[in-house]
Amino acid sequence: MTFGTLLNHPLPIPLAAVSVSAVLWLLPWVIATVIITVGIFVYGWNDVVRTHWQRVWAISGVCVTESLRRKVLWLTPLAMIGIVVVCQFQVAASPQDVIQQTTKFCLFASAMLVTVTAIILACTNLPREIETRIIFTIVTKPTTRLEIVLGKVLGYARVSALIIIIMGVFTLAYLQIRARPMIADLKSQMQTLPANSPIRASDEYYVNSGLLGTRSLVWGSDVEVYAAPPNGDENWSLGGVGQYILIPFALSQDNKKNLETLVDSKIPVYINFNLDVKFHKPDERQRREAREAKLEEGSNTKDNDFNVPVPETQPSAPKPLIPEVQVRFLNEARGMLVKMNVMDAGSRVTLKPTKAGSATYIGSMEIPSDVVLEAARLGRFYTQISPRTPATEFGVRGSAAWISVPIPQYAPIQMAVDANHPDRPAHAIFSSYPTRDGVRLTSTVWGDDPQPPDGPVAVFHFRNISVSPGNDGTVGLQIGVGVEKTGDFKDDPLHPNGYAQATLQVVNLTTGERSDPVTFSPETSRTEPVPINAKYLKGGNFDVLLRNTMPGQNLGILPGNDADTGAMALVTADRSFVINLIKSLFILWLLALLVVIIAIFCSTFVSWPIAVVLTLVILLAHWGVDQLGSALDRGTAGRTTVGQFKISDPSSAQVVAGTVDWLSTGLRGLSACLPDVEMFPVMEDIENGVSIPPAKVLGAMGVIFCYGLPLLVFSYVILRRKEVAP
Amino acid sequence: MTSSTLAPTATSRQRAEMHPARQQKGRVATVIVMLGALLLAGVMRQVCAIQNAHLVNIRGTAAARSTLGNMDSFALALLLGGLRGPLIMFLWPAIENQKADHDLKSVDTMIEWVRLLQPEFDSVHLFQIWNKAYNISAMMASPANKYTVIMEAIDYAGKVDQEKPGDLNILGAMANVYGGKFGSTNLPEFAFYGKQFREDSMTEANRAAAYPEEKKYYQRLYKWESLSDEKSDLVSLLDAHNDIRPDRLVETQPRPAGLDPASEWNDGSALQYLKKYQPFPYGVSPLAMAFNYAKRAEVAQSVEGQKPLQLSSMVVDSQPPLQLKFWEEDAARHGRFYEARAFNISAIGGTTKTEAALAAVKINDPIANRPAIDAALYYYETARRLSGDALVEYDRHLAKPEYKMRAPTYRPHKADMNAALAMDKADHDYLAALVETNPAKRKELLINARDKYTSAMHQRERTALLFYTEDEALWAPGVMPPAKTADARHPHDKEHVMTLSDYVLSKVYDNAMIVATKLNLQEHADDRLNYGISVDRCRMRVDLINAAL
Repeated sequence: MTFGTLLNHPLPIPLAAVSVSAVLWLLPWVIATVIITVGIFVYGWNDVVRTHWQRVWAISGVCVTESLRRKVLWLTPLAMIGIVVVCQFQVAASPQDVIQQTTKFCLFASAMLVTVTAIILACTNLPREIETRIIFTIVTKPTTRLEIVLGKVLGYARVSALIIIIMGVFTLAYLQIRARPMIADLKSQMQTLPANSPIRASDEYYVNSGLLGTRSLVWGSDVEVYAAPPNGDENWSLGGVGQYILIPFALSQDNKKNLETLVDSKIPVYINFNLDVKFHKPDERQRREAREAKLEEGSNTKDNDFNVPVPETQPSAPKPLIPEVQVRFLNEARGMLVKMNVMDAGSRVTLKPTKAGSATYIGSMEIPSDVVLEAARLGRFYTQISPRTPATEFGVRGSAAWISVPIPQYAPIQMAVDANHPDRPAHAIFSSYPTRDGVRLTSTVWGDDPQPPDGPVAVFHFRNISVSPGNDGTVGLQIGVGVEKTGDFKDDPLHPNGYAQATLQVVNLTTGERSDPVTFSPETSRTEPVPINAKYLKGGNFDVLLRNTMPGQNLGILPGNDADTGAMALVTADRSFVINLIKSLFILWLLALLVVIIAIFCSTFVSWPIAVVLTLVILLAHWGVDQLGSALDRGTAGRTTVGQFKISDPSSAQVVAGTVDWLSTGLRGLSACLPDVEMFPVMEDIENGVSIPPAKVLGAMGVIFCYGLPLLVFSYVILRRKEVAP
Repeated sequence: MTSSTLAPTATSRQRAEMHPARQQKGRVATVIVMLGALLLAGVMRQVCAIQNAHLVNIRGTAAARSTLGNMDSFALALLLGGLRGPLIMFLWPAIENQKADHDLKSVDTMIEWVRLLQPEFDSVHLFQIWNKAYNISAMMASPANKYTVIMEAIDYAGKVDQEKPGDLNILGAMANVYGGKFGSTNLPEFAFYGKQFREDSMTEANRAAAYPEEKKYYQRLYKWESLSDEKSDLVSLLDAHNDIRPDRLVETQPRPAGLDPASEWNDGSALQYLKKYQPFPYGVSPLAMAFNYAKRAEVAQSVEGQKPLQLSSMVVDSQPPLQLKFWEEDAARHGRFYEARAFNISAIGGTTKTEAALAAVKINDPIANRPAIDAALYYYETARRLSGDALVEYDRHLAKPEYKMRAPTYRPHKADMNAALAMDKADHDYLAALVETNPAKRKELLINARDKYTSAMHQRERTALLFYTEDEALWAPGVMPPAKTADARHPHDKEHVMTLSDYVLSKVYDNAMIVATKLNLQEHADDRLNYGISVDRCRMRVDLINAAL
C-alpha cells in the first residue's frame, strides 16, 4: 500500500495493510510535528506569547549588518571571476553542452559560496557573542531566547538570500552573454550545413527555441515495435530480427479448475495460433540465415557429420521459406512462467496455410503440464510469439491464439478481452528483444523486395496531450536512444555525411494526417530535439513513429514512460528560463536555510570550530552513506573487512565481521535520521533545460519542515536552558 | 571602560579597532608579502624547470619548453589554491565512472582540467590521449562524431606539444593516433576518416574544386587553429595554394653549431617533414601526419637523446619507414580509386573484380572523368616518391647496429617498396600516356610503363614465392627447377628463388600458385591473392602496351 492509497483508505486502516515504506515516509513528519508542538507550544508557550516580530527583525538586521561589515559580499565577485576563469577551460561538443556546463558551474559556485558563508557566519556568531559578552546586551533586554534564535536564523537567511540574488543575476547575465553568440554561430552553421544533414533538425530546434529554453516534457506510452505502422485492424511483426508478439490470456475460475483437472487426468492441453503471413523476397543474408535456421523448404539436407549444407553442383531456384514462430509463456511481469534455462528460446511451431494459397496460417503445440498448472494458478499470463523466418511478416488480426483440448465438452479458452470493449480481444503487445540500451529497433534497409514493409517501426502513443506550439508553429519532440553497430556495419556510401541516422514521423489520430519523416542523428548519451509541425499534433492524440534508416546499426529504445525509463518525450511548452532559475535558486536558498539552522543548533552547545565540523557531518552524513552504497550491506561490510585485514582465524573473523556489520547497520540507521541534501536538486533539471517540477520544490520544503524546524526548536530549548549571562 | 582595563583580555580584532592606522599598515604588508611570495614561486619554478632539463640531459627542442604555454595550468592551480590534489583525485574516478556509464556529458571538460592540473606528467597525457582516441571515440555512434573525438585527442596532444615542444612521448602518441585510428584499414570508418581529414585540411574553395561530388554531404568537422600569435582566418591546414600553412612550418629551434651536417634535426616546426611533399592538391592524408610525427619522435630520440616512456626505442626508431609504407599504400589505393572513377568503373563487386576491370583499361578507352585522371596521376607520383623515401628510411633504421638483427623482419617490406617503386611509376606513366597527345612522348611513356610493369611483376612474383607461398606448393614436384649442383644451399632453401631468371621465375610462380590453389592452402591465401592481383595487373598492362605499340 502506497502513501497515496493510504490517504484515500477508509478508516480504520487495517494495520497489516500499512506498508513499511508508507510508515517510514510518514515517520519524520509525525516526529517533527510532535517536536515542534511540544517544544514551542508546550515548553515555550510563554516565549511564543511574548514574541514580537519587530524584535526578531531587529536581531536579524544586526546579523545582516555584521555580515556586511565582515565583507561577505566581497566573496561574490571572487566567485564570479572563478566561474569566468573555469568556463575558459571548458571543452564542449556543442553549444547546448556549453550552456549546460556553464549553468552547472554558476549554480555550483553559488551553492558553495552560500553554503560555506552560511556555515562560517552562523557557526561563529553565537559562540563569539557569548565569548565577547555581546550577548549580555541582548539577554538583559526583554528579548526571549526564541526571538534570538529566530532572529539569527532569519538574519543569516537574509544574508544567504542576498548572496543568492547577486549570484542569480550574474548567472542569468553571464548565460545570456554566452548564449547569444552561440545562437549566431548555430545560425551560420545551419547555412553551411548540407540540406540533407541529419543534424539540421536539432540545430533548427535550438535556433528557434533558444539555448536557454526550459522545457516541460510529457512522456509517451511504453514503446511498441512493429513490422510496419499499425493500421488498427491488423498489426504485423517481422521475422528474424528479434521482434515478438505478446498475446494476453485471463483465465476464469472455471478455466483454472478445468485446466487443473486436465493436467491431473494427463490430458494434453494445446495452444493454437492463427496468424496472417506475408512473404518478402529475401536478400542474400536473409536467405543464408533462413538456410542456417532450416527455414528454407528442402534445406534439411545436411552433412550428418558437420551439420553444414551439402555443396550443390549447380545453382537452383530460390526455395520458399517456411513460416515458423517460437513460443514461450510469460507472467504479467514478463518473466518466464516456469523457470527454465534462460537460453531456451521456447518451442518452435511451424505454421501451415489453412488452404493452398491462403495468407492465413495456423499452427499448434502442446503446452507443458507445469506451464499449464502455473498458468492456472496465476490466471493472467502472456503467450510470447517470436517470428523466426527472415523476410516474413506475421500479422495478428482478432483472436490470434486460443487454448484447446481434444475433448469436446471443454470449450476453447480464448485470449483476454479488451477492458473497454468486452466484445473484442485485448490488444496484443508488439515488441522486440532488447539490446544493451533497451528495446531493439533494426534497420529499415533490408531485403531485395521491391515492396518491403514500411518498417520496422517503433511506435510511441500520446493521448489527450495539451500542446503549445512555439512561435514558428512547431513542437519539439525529444528523443534519446542508444546506437549499436552490428557486425555488418561498414562505411555507408548512401550516408557519406558520416552521421548515424533515424527518422521521426507523426500520425495524427484525429485528422489522420501524417507528417513527412524528419531525419535526425541519434548519438550515445545525448537527447536530440526534433521539431515537428504542430498541425500533426492537433487534438492531442497522435502516434510518433521512429524508424532506423541506417544499415548496420540497431537502435536501443528505453521502453518506459517517464524521465528515467523513457526514450521519447513531447515538449508541451517552452517555459521561461528565468522562472526556472528562480525555482532553482529558491531551492538553493532552502538549502542555505537548513545549513543556517543546523549551524546555529550546533553553535548553541559546542565551540565554533566543533560546530563547523558537526554542521558538515550532519549535512553530509546521509549523502556520504548513500555514496557507500552496497559496501555497507549486511554481510558485505564484514566480509570485506575480514578480507582486507587478512584475518584467517575463524572465530576472530566472525567477531570482526559481526562487529563491522553491526556498525554498518548502525551507520545506516543514523544517516537515515539525518537530512538528505539530495532533496535539494539545485542543478539537475535546470542544467538539462527541463522545468523544475513543483514536487521537487515541495520536497525541499518538506526537509525544512521535518529536520529544520525541529532543530530550530532544539536550538531554542538548549539556548533557553543555557547560562549565557550572569 | 578604558583601554587599560580592556587590554589584558582584548582580542586582536579589538586591538586592531583601537589602532586603525596600524591595521591598515598590516594589511598592506600582508599584500606585499603575498605578491612577493607569488613572484618568488614563479622564479623558483623557472629555476627548477631549467635545473630539471639540465639534470635529465634533454637537448634540443624539449629543453626550450615554453613557460608561457603553461600559463593556463598555472592560473588554474593558483585559482584552486591547495585544492589541486583533491580536485584531481575527484576528476580521475569521475571521468572513468561517467565513461563506464556511457555518460559523456562534461567528460571532455574534466579531461581538459586533468591536462591543466597535471601538466608535468607525460603518462597522464598519454593515457588521456589514448582514452579519448580509442575509448571515448568508440562509444560514439556516428563516424562523424568519432572523428571529432579523435581530433579532440589530437588537439589535446597538440596543446601538450605547445606546452612541452618536441616531447618524444607526445609526438609518438600523435603519430599513433593518426596512424592507428585514421590509418587503420580494418576499421569500418576508415574511408570516411581519410576523406573527411583530407577535406578538412583544405581551404573551402580548394576543397570544393577538388571534391565537387561532396557538395551535398560535406560538413567541416574540424577547424585548425593558428599556432602562431598572429591571428589567421584560415581554418584549414593548407593555404590557398594547397601548401602547408606558414604557422605549421615556423622554425623555432636553430640547428646547433656542433651538430654533424649529415645529421637530421627537428627544427621545431609542427609539420617539418611534410614540407618536401607539398603542395597537397587533394588534402593531407592522415597517414602523412602519422609519418611526420613519427619522424619527429624518431629524431627526438636519435639526435636529441630523449627517452620514450612507454614504447621501446626500437619501436620509435622503426615508425618512420613503417608510416611511409602505409602512406604509400594509401596513396596507391587512392590512385586506383581515381583511375576507376576516370573510366567509370564501379567499385561494387569487390577488389578482385574492380582490379581486373581496371587492369583491362585499354590505351584508347574513352575517359569519363578527366579531373580524375589528374588525381590518379598525382597519387601515383606521390606513391612513387613515398616508396623511395620508405626504402631510405628502412636503410637508416637497419643501419643502426642495435637493429641490424631486424633485417629479416623488414625484408618483405623492402621488397614491397621496391616493387611499389616500379609499379607506381608504371601506373603513372601508363595513365599519362593515355592523356598524352604527342605520339612520340606517348610511345616513350608506354615503353617506360612496360619496363616498369615488367620489373614490378618480377619483384612481386619473387616476394610472393619467398615469403607468402607455403612449402607444400613451392616444393611440389615440377614447380621449381632442380637446384644447381654447385649450389651449396639446402635444396629446399627458399633463397633459390633469388637465383631464378625472370623467365623461369614467372613459370615457377604460375606453377606454385596453381598447386597452392589445388591444395587449398590457407596460411598465406590472402597475401597470395593480393600479390596475384598485382601480378595480373602488370601482365595485362604489358600485353596491352605490346598490342598498342
